[in-house]
Amino acid sequence: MWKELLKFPFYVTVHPFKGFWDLKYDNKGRVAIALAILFLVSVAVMYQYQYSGFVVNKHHPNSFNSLIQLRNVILPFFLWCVANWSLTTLMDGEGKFKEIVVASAYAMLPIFLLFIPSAFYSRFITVEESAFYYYLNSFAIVWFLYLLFVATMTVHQYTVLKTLTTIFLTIVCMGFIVFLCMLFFSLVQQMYSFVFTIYKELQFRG
Amino acid sequence: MRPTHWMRKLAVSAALTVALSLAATPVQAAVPYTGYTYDGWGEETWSPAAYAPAGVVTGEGLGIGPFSAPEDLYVTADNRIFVADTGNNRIVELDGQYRFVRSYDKFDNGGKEDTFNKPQGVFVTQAGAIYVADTGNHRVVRLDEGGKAGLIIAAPKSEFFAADFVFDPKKVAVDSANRVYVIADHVFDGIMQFDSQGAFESYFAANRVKYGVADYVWKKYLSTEAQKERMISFVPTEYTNMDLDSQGFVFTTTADNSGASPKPIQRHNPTGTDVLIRQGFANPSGDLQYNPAKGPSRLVDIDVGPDGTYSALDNKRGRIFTYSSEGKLLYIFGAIGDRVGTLQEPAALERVGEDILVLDKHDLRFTIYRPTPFGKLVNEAVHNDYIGNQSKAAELWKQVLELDANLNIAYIGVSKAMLRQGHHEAAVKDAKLGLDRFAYSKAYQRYRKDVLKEHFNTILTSILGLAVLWAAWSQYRKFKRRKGGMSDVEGAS
Repeated sequence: MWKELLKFPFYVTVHPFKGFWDLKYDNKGRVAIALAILFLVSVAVMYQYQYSGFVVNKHHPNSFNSLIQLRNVILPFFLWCVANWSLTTLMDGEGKFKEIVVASAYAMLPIFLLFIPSAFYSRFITVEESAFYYYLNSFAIVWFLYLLFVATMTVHQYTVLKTLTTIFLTIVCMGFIVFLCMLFFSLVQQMYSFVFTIYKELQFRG
Repeated sequence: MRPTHWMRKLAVSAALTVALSLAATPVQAAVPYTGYTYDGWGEETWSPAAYAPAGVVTGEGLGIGPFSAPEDLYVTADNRIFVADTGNNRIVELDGQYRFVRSYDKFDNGGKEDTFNKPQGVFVTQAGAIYVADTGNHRVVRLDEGGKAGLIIAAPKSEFFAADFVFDPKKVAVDSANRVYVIADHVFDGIMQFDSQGAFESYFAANRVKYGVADYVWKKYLSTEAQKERMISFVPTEYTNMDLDSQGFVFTTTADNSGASPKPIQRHNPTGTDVLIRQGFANPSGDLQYNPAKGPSRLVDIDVGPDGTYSALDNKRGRIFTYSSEGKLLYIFGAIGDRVGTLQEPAALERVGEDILVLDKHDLRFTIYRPTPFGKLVNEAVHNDYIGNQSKAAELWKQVLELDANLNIAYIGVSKAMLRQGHHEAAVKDAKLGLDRFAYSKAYQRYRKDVLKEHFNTILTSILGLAVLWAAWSQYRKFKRRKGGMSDVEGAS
C-alpha cells in the first residue's frame, strides 16, 4: 500500500491529468507525503544555494541562512494554498484545503528531482557549459508551473481560462494576505507599546 | 561592522604595517591610516598599507613663503615639479629632490609685463612649454622658454557660445600634437578642445545627461510651467580633472558618483568614447562601502602611473585608489586628519617616479607617499604581469600573498602563471581563491581533461561493470516475474 503511495507522486509528474484526477477521486494522495515533498524541495533549494559549483554559485559562503531559505519555499507554499483555497471557495471550486495542499506539493516534485542533480553537475562545468545548468533549472521551474496549472484545474474542476484567472487572482490575494499580516503585526506592536506605556505610567505613580 | 572586529582589523593592520616598515627601512614612522582593500565580494578587508608618508613639502620649507590655496600639481617625465600656487598668483617649480628652482609670477606678454590671477591649473609639455589655466584672467597662457607668453587662449568666439559666456579654465592638458584640452567652470558640454594655435575646435567627450523614466515623464508631460521653472534643470556632470596617458588617451574624473552605473573614472579615446577597461570585481569608483549619509567618494584628480595603472584621489575621505590597466583595484591609502601623512582638503595628485604626491589645499603643502615593501611588491608584480613576464609575476604575487593572504588579485596572478606552466590543479585552486570564474573555467577545463585521461581505464571499466550489473539485474527481475513473485505498479497498470 505505502509503496504504491510513494510511487504515486512520480506517476503524477509524468501523467498530470490522470494523476491529479486519481489523487482527487481515488484518494491516492497523502498529506504526510506532500509535506515530505515540501521538505525535500526546500532541502534541494538550500543544497543548490550552498553547494552548486563555483562558476555558477555567486553567493558569499557566509551568507547562507537556512531560516531565510525555508522562508523562500515553505512560506510561499502555504500562502499559495491559503490564498487559493480562500478564492476557490468563492469561485465554485470543488477542491478541499487538504486537496490543494497535496496537489500543490506533488506538483513541486520536479524541482526536487532536477535541482539536486543540476547542482551536483554544476560542480564539474566551465563557464561556457553553464548554460546547460541554467537550462535544467528553468526546465524544472517550467515543469513545476505546468503541473501546478493542471493541479489547480483538476482539483477545482475548472476550465483553462478560469484556471488562469484563478492563478492570477491567487497571486494578487497572496499579496493582500502579506499586506494584512504586516498591518496586523504593526498594529499589535503599537497596541502592546500603548498598554506597556500605561503600565509604566501606573507603576511610576503608584 | 562590529567594533571589536574593526578594532582587531585595525590593530593587526597597523602592527603588520609597522613590522613591514621596520623590516625594510629602519627609520619610518607608523602609517597614520588603516590599510584596507575590497575583496571579491566587495567587502572591506584589512591589508597592509601600500604607501606610507615619507614627508611633506611646504612653501616655508622651500623658503618662498607659504602656499596659498594651491590647486594643482604637475610633474614632468624628468621629474620637474610644478605647483599652481593659486592664492599667491604664481607657479612654483621644484626639482626632483623637492628643492625650489624658480617661481613664475610675472611674464612677458608681447613686450608688456603681465601677471597671473588665481591660476588653478598647470601642465608642462615634454618640450618644456608651461600651460597655465589662468582662471581669474579668463584665459590659458602658454609660457615658453625664458618666461615669455607664447600663446594666449581667451574666451573662444564661436556660435557654440552665448554672448555672455565667461571662460573660467580650471584644468589644462596638452597632447603630443599640442592640442589643448581645457576643463572650464560652468561648461557642461565636455572638455573644450583647442588646436595648437589656440582656436576652439570642438567639445571633447561630452558627458551625457542621465535621468530616469519617471523624471522624464514628469518633466516633459505632467508638470506645469510654474513647476518647471522651479525645477533644477538636468545638466550633465562636469569633469573634475583629467590626465593624458602615453597613448594620448584622456583619463577623466567626475564628481558624479551615484546612481545605477556611475562612471566617475573614464578613459577617452581620440573620438571621445569611454574605453576604460572594467574587468575588476567592481567598477573603478573609489570606496564600495560607505556611510550613505556622507555619500560615495568624490574623485577630484587622476594620475596615470606606469604599466597602465592609474590612481584617483577622493577628496571627501582623503584616500587614493590605485587600479591596474584592467580596472582591478590594487590598493587604497590615505585618510583625512591633522597628522603628517593625512590630508584635510586634497586637491591634486601626481607621481614622481614611484612616489605619489598629494597636494593639500587646506594644509598648504604636499605630502610625499612612498611605497612600502608591500606596495613595491604589488607594483613590481603588476609590472611583470603587464609586460607578460608571467613566471616572475607569479613569484612576486606569491611574496605578496605572504604579506596579505586575502588579496584576490594576487591569487589570480599566481593562477595565470600556474596555468601557463601546466600546473592545472594548482591553477584551479588559485583561481577559486582569487574568485575569478573565467580563469577558473579555463584552468578547470584542462584539469578535468587531465583527470579523465589519467583515469580513463578505471572509468571505462566501471561503466562496463555497471552495464553488466544492470543487465544481470533485469534478467533476474524477468525471471522472478515469470515465476509470478512480483506485483509492482508496472505489473498492475
